[in-house]
Amino acid sequence: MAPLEPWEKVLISDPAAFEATVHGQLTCLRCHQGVPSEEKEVAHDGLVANPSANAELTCGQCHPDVTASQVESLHATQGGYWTVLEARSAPEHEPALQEMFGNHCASCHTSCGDCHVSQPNSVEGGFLDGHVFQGTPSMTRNCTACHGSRVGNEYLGKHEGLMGDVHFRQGRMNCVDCHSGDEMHGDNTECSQCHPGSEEAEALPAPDHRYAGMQVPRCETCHANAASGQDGLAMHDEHGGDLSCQVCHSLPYSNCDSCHVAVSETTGNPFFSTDATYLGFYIGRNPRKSYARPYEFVPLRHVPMAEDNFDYYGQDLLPRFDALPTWAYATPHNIQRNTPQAESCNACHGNGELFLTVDRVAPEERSANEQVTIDRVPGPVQEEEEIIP
Amino acid sequence: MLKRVAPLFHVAALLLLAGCGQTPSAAQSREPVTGEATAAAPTATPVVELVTEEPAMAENPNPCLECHSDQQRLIETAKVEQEAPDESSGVG
Repeated sequence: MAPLEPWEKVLISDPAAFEATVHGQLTCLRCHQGVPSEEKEVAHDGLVANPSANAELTCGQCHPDVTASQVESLHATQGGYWTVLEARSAPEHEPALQEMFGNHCASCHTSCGDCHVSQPNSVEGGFLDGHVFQGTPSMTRNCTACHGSRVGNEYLGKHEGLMGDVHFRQGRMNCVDCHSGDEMHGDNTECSQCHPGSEEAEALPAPDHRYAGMQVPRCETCHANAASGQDGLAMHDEHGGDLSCQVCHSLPYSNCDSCHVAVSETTGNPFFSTDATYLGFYIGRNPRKSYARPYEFVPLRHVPMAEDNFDYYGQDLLPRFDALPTWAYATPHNIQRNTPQAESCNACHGNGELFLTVDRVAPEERSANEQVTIDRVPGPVQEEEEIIP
Repeated sequence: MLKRVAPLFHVAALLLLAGCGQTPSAAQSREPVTGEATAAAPTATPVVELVTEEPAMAENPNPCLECHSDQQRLIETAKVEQEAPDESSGVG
């Protein structure tokens, strides 16, 4: 998506349409401050370009229920990054990592306006529809503007030779058809609110990662019959609890190797350098096994984490690098009803190409990935046992 | 005689009415709302103070709209941005 021209980003293309909306009833200064003047420099004195950066004091005046949870959501806090950084680092390195994070990661923080008024910073902003607020964000101008290189390219079928997700190709489904507003805004519901006294619910740790807590969205919400023992398909009966749906229904997806970051000596701007990006499909052991995600095997995606990623900010900032695998639980967004690995039992059983075995892991990362690598590829099954759905 | 005394009565009446004047309203006495970043660290959220009382505006309540709906004016007044070369490489 080409960036908008500077004037285009702030053009209220249809002022009458904007003024006819609820937000158009407010004066501009109510949210943006500044000074009422026809002179640009005067008018912009004290201007707050992005009022929703402090949502509770702006959007929250009318939408307190949303902003109350949004400020704690992963979109706002980027808490998932810190879960993995803290697991691999040590408390004394936090100041250096905070500096790194501020320079390279924090700009992906999302406020209300980044989804409902403008395009996000990652594509240099600009009004979506002349400042008319959008109840539902745009899939391509909001969601995949940030989640583009992996999710967007997979879902929309932008990888050569790989079809887009069936939910998009045939269902014409948008991101929000599965990912609800509650999920995006942060849902503070705790398991124990619906299951009081349930030991399992009480035992769940507080969500600190996008795969923590309940599985939302969940394929079975729409495909209830696909749950084990419901539709008569031998593969669902056999593997319903062992394999995540994506093991059988995904195509190859993007993987990245290391993301070194630094600040340019010439421009003073932060920059990154990823070593390699490649398509692949790798089944491994589930590193995030939980009550909600009990699967034994899941697809694993290589994340761009390397021990020396942040060396610009200090030596050995990840002393516990091996605490988490570099091959991470993945939910590829290129779901198909039929995939090569699910053509028959032996399309997968005995097919070493599909599994993350130790020899396919870089030597310096083997220790970190001990819990996810497969010791032995499941052997072929007898032909007469094969039941092709 | 009555004409001479009448102004004195008016002054006395005004003083009495002033004593019965309104106490300051809740809105007037409200402390200005200040904002403190409440999002859990780490975020790059800047602190924004809520405008509790809008500055008095002349006839046009939204002068911002006049400029921001005028494409030509926006083009003419746009700040020229010098883009620094992006030194990043690989997929972000």
